[in-house]
Formats: sequence, C-alpha cells, structure tokens
Amino acid sequence: MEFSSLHEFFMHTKTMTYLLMGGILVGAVLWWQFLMGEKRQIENPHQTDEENGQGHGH
Amino acid sequence: MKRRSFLGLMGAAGAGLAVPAPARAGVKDFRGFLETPGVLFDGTRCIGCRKCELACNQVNNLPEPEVPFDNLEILDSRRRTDASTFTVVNKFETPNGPVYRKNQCNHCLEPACASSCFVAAFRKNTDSAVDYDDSVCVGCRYCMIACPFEIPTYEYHKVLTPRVMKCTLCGPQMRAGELRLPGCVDICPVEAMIYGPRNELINLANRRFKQFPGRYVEQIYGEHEMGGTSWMYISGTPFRQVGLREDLGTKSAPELTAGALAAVPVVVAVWPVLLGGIYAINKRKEKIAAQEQKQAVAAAVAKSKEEAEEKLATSLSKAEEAANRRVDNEVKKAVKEALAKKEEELKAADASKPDEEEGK
Amino acid sequence: MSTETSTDFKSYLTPFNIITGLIIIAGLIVTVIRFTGGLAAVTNLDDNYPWGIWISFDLLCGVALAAGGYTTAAACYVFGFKKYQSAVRPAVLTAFLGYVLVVLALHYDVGRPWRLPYPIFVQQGTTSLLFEVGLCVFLYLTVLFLEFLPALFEWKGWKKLREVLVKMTLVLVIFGVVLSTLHQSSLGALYTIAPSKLHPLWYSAYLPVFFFVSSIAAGLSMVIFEGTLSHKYLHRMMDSEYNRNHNDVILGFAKGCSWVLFGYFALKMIGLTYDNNWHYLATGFGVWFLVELLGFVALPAFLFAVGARDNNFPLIKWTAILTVLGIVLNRFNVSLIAFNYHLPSEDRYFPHIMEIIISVFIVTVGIVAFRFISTRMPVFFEHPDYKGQH
Repeated sequence: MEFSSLHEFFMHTKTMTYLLMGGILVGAVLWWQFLMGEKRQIENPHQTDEENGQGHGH
Repeated sequence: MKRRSFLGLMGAAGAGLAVPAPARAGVKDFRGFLETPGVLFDGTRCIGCRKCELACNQVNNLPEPEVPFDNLEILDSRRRTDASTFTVVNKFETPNGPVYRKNQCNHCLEPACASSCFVAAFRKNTDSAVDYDDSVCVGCRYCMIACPFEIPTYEYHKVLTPRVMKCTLCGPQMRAGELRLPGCVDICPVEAMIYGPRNELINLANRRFKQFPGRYVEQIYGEHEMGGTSWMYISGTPFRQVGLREDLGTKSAPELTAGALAAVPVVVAVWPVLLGGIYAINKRKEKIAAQEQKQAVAAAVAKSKEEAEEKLATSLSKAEEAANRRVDNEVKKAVKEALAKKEEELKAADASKPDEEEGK
Repeated sequence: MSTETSTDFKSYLTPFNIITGLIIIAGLIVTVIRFTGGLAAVTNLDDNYPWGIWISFDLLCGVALAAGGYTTAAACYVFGFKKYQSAVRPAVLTAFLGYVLVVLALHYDVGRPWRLPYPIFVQQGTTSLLFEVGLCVFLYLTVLFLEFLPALFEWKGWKKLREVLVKMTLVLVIFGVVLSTLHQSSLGALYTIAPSKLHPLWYSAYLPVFFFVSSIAAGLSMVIFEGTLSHKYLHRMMDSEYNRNHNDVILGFAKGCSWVLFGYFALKMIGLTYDNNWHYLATGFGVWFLVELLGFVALPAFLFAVGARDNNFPLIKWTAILTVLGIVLNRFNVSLIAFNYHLPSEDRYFPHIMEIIISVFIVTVGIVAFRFISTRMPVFFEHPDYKGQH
C-alpha cells in the first residue's frame, strides 16, 4: 500500500492497531481462563476428552 | 528433485520475495505532496489592496462583510480569519515602512487538523487542498486547538449546523472546472502569489533570492515549518515581524503525537499482564496464608487435644486413686466398725456371763 | 433532610433543596438558550479559544476527579487491600456519575451533540488522541455501569443477574484500569499536538504521564474528600462495616496519595530538566508554575505524610481538598491559563456567566443523583442478603 503522507500511514497503522488491541483484550481474558481456570487436567492426565469438554462448561 | 527445477524454484522464491516488498530502511519518510500544487506568497510585492479578500469572498459565496473590501483603513487593526473570512491581509509596521502579508490556510503537508480530527473529517487531497467534510463533523473544535497557524474557525452562532470554516485552496471549484486558479491568486494585480508545483515554487524562490540580493530574508517560510506546507512565504523582513511564528519547529503534527499514540497499545498489552500478575501473586499469598493458618489451627487443635487427653488420663488416674483410697477407707472403716462391733459384742457377752452365773 | 416518609410540601423546603432547585432551574433556562441560540448565545468561546471551561472543568477536571473509581477498585481487587472493600461502591458510583456528567457536559460543548457517537460508529479518526479519549470514555462508562449494577440488583433483589456480574469483577476492574490509564493520559496527550500554543513550562512530551499520575492522586483525594462529606450528610445510610473501615481507608489513601504525589513531583522535575526549561522559572509564568508545583503538589505530599504518620484525620481531610484544588488548577493551567500564552491579553478568554451556570448545574445534578442513589441502594452498607459475599 502506498502512502503519500505520514498522516495517511498513521491512519492505516493506528486503525489496524486499534483492531489488534480489541483482539488482545479478548485474548487476554481467554488466555487467563485457559491458564488459571482448569486445574483438573494436570492432576489427571489420563482423563478422556469427553470429560475435558465437560470440564470447560460453566 | 532435479537440480534445474530446484534452482528454478529457488529463483521463483527469490523473485516472490523481492517483488512485492523491496527491503527499505525502517525510516518512514513520505514525500507524496512535495510536487503537488502550492502557492508562493511574495511579501515584497503585496500592496495591501484587499482584492484577494474580495475574490475569496465571492468565489466561496461568503456573506458580505460589515466593512467593504475597498476600505483600506481596516488594515490598521490586526485581524484573523473567521467563519465568514477565509483570508485576511494584515499590515505590519517595520523600520522600512509598512509591509503586508496575506493569511489563510497553509495546507500543511501533514495537516494538524487532519491528525487531530477524531472523525477524520479533514483530508489532504491529491491537489494539495486540505478538505473538510462537514457531514461527519461533530464540532469538537480540536482542529482549532491543534492548528499551529490558528486558521480553522467555527460557526458559533449556528444552532443546528455549525461548521468549521477555512480556506479550501479553491479545491472544490477547481475540481469542478469553475476556476483555473485559486480566487485570490487569480485576482492579485501585482502577482504577489504564484500557484504551481511546490518543488518548482521552491526553485523559483531561490532564483529570486539570487536575482535580488539583499531584498529577501533568504529563507522560505513553510518549506519545513511543522513538516512543511503547500502554501509558502518569502519576505523582505524577518517572518516574525509579519506575524509568522518562527518557533513552530519542523516536527509535523503526526510526529508530535506519535509518542503518545505509540504508548496506547503498550498499555493495552502490558497492563493486563502486570495487573493480572499482581492479582495472582496476591491470591497465591492469600492461599498460602490460609493454608498456613489452617495448618496452625490443626496443629493447635491436635496439641490441645493431646493435652486434654493427657489431662483426662491424669485426672482419671487421680480419680481412680481417690476412688481406691475411698474404698480402702470404707473398707478400713467397715473393718474398724466391724471390729468395734465385735469388741462390743464380746464386752456385752462378758458382762452378761456373771448374770447367767448368778441366775443359775 | 430525610423526606422520604413525608409527603408534606413544606418539609421539602430545606436549604439544600431550595439551593439545588434554584440552580437546576437556572441550568434548565440556560440549556434552552444554548440549544435554541447556539454556542455563541451562551459562551465566550471564539476562534482563538475553541475550548473554554466546559472542557477545562467539566471534561478535564471531571474525568480526573472521577479517577477514584479505578484507583479504589484496583487497590481492593488487584493489589489486595481487602479493607478498602467498603470504599469501592461509593467510589465506583461517584466515578460512574462523574463520567455520565462529563458526557452530558460534552453535549453542551460540541456543535452537533447528536453526532457524538460518530467517531466510534461512523468514521474513525484513529490518528487523533481525542478518538482515543472518546473510545475509552465510552467503554469505561460501560465498565463502570457493569461494576455498579450489582448494587442495583441487590436493591431490586435480582440474585442471578448479580451473580453473573460478581463473577466478572476481576475482568471488569482490570479493563477499567487499562481504559482509565489510556484516557486519563490521553487527555494530557491532547495538548502534545500544540507545542506552539502551550507555555513551555506546561508543555511536555510527558504530558500524558503527568495527567495519568496526577489522576491517581486526584482519585485518592476525592475518595477521602467525598468520604468525609458523605460521613457528615449521609451517615444514616452507613453500616458498622463501612464505619469500622472508614478510618483505615482514609489513612491508607493518605499514605498512597502522598507517595503518588512524590512521584508526580519527581516527574514534573524530570519534565523541566528534559526540556531545559529552568530559566522560565524566573518569569511570571514561572512563579505561577512554582505556586502549582510547590503549593499544590509538594505541600500536600508532605501534609499527607504527616497526617498519616500522626493519625491526624482533620489534616488529612484538608490536605485532600488542597490536592483536589491542585489538580483542578493544573488542568486549568494546561487548558486555559498557559494555553495561548502568546496572545495579547485583550484576545484572551474569560468564561461567560452562562458557561459557569451550566458547569455548576451539572455538578449539582451529580450531587442530587448521588444522594438519590446512595439513600436507596446498598452503597454505604452491605445488603443484608449478601453479607460478606465479595
């Protein structure tokens, strides 16, 4: 993409960054839950997949 | 794989890498408006006739002013642009007599108004004009705060449809083919303004500096100010004497706010990490504290239980002892009593014996 | 003052109600003039001063002084100061009302208020720091509303809805801190685009940092200040839990505020040094700058420390007021007094009386709303059904 001014360039990169920021905020919440939420899998590595699936339900 | 086809693939990969994204230095330098049209204003030529104000008023269909354009006395007072005046000529008294300078939007290469507008209502067009779109304007007036040249004005008196008003470089009229030149440039009787590609204007200015030594301050105002402007000025007196600020610097508006804008995504990425981390550390501390408390309580309970049991045992044994003693005592008492009784019986028996003997 | 049980008209005629009533009537009259006569009819704004006290006071000060919401919530839920729990709800309510009023004030200030959603929903000017402010204020207002909703649900007795929100507390608090950091700092960053208009002593590339750090001090001081006011006038709504923790909160916040002000003072010195602005201190603006920096930053930092060390509650309360005034002074300096410092005095702005009326009107609406809500919903007390459930 060609930009004729720094302003045009920033308009593009800032717009993309704002979209990314939204993704980061949602991602942070999901990652936190993945990281902190489910402890059972580690305690019982032989658990079946079905049980895991149920384990995520709230 | 055949060697030739492998090399062919390599070549294709190389070409594929090279064509769409030629490697460039990380410096972001944009030169899109260096050769687009601009205007050069020559302060040594302007005679302060206010014809440009008149033309501007007419081509933009602005309301008629209170003071007619042929009244030159108004030049004695310092004026600025307003909602019905896109350009003004001001008179400046200098040691070499009065000097006139026209003021209007400078159509920055990196417009501060565009950078500051939160609905992107301003846009620098390919013909250099900084356009304003009133169909999205909210009327926050941040553009007026941002503009270093104090150009944008506002229709404060309008109730429902107030707009930001400023010079358009006659962009709409020229695009529509109504005008060949901006109204002010076209009417000027002394050719104080020249419209043309910006780079050529800079060359022209430099030629004039050479042609008339000593006539000019050999500097083009607007070549670098605030990142450069499409409308530029040359003057015979220092620019600050004709109301052009020399302390604006060369940094453009996007550069001035780049640091603050760059910090925004950093906060979004780092704050949750830091705050979540602090939260987790506190949670863990609380958990450990709770566990320790639980353990301490359990230990205390066990200890007191043990003590209680011990106490119970001792008190039980004591009680037993006491009971035994009591039994002993009872037995002894009983024995004693029994013995005493026996003795009494014996005594009684002894006493009754003589009676029996007497009775015989 | 308690008139809930009485329907007798005369009992409403308390001094508080009469004054607020008069202010609200005056405000409504000016509102009509504003929306029928345009900005020119009620303001002294001009082309040199597009922003007057509605931006300086209602927006800049309003947002800074509503910072108590995120600071208290963060202290309690993230930094683990559980004792501040009872201070969270009043702070969140104040912050929510504060932001509602900021948005209300903006409806008076902008030219076409019905277009206020445009930057978010119609055309995004992402290079603008004002876009950042607008987006964050919009999102943060939503977050504050969600943070306060449990109190409303407890009042109404909607237990299931409350449960859902209470589970989201941590996420909401962290979102709140992120959004607050961003828009508090961006309000300062608004002025980074105009180095030629703001006096060098106040202009700095660090403006966003100054605004953010000082907002923390403002938030903490406002919690202390409001706590004192509420204690005096809304005491009947407070439970023993609130009252037991009240002194702890005040001492803790005084310490915190002193520490933050120390950091803010340090930052201001860094700003001076970084731009080599020391020589301006000898000018008139320099004296004014020193008044702000020494009298309203260094002094309160010291007084808070003394107050916290000696358990001197009256001193802490007065210092909180001093700090709040200092933040207000700073925002006025940046946006009005040191702004356009190069203009001749006849071109400078002074607010129109009707601008002041609207600002006072909006603050009054806030106080009335706060009283209305805190005398009904569980703000200063724990709802009996949810005791100890946090």
